[in-house]
Amino acid sequence: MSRPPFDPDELERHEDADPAAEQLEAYARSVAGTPPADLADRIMSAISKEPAPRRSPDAWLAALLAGRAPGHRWARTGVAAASLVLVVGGVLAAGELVRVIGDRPGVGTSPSPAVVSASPSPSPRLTPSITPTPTPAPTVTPSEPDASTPEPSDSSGSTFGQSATPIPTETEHESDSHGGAETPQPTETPRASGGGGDG
Amino acid sequence: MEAAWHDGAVDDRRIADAVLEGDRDAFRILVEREQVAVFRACLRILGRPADAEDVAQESFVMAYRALGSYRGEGPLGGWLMRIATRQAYRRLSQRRETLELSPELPQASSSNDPVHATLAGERQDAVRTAVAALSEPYREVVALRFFSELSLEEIAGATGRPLNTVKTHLRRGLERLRPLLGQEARA
Repeated sequence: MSRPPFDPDELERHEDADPAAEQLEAYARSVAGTPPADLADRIMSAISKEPAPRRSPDAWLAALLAGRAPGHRWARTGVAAASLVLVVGGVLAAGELVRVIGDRPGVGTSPSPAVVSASPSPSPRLTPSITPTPTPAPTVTPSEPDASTPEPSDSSGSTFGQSATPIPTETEHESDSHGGAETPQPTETPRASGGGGDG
Repeated sequence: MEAAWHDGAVDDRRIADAVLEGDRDAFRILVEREQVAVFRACLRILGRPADAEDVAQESFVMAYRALGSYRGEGPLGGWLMRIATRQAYRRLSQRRETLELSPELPQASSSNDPVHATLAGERQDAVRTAVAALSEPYREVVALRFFSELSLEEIAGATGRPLNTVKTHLRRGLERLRPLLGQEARA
């Protein structure tokens, strides 16, 4: 056997020989039998009963890239074309995704400044526009918006138009419930909007 | 690779490609080239020629079955030797279980040897047992280096580990072997 013996320099240890390595070397030298002459025939006989091995996908790919697989030229061209299609498709898909996200309403704009600017002050003009006409009924008297005195609410809700949407109630007793339930109360905008009035 | 004695990596790839393309007889080239090294590695691990023959044959058959996973990144001999080493240690662990179940089983090797041979046999048993007692990956690296006689570069190629990692594993394996071999005071 032509293998050189173990050298401590293999492990970059510039020192005396390793005693364990020496013992292992001595052991390997002492156990150096040869196989029986028919071992190769027995192995090949066993292999003849085995199905033919197949290249695993990753090994096939490695062989392909190394140019060792059968038909590698056509296959390499196919792989290159498929890679190109994947790259182009990925770029197009990414662009489409960006476009779709950009088209979504409200995306990219901050909603709060728009709301604040839309409600500078309590406006009684909203009252008629959002007051529904209650279904007339003989026993139901719709309340008149003008009769109720709108009081600015203390709430500082910013979406006053939506939250104050009145629900028409069929009041059988007109004396008690006509004010708060049906008449929207104009909300007093927070100080952010009121600050405009200071100037 | 200075210390490589399993040379001819290009030929290894040709052999593997030929076998994978259906040329079963191409495998015989590998068998005839590597059978001595594989048999010796198995014998050094197992200590019994009959077991070494069996495991060597099993290893070649396993290598043939798994040849499709050989990526040609290292010598085919090193790849085959790793399979053989693993198979030999697997057989050794099975044999230990059998011996534990029937401890009265006689040892075949030292029954009719003279005293000198018996002592030598005991020393060999001690080395085999000490290496077998190492944990992985130290056992594998030590066995591949000293029993399978692969170079460190070949071990790195066969195991897929960086060369410096292989060196570290071998150095630590040797350090762990010292007390097991009764060399604590000398080291």
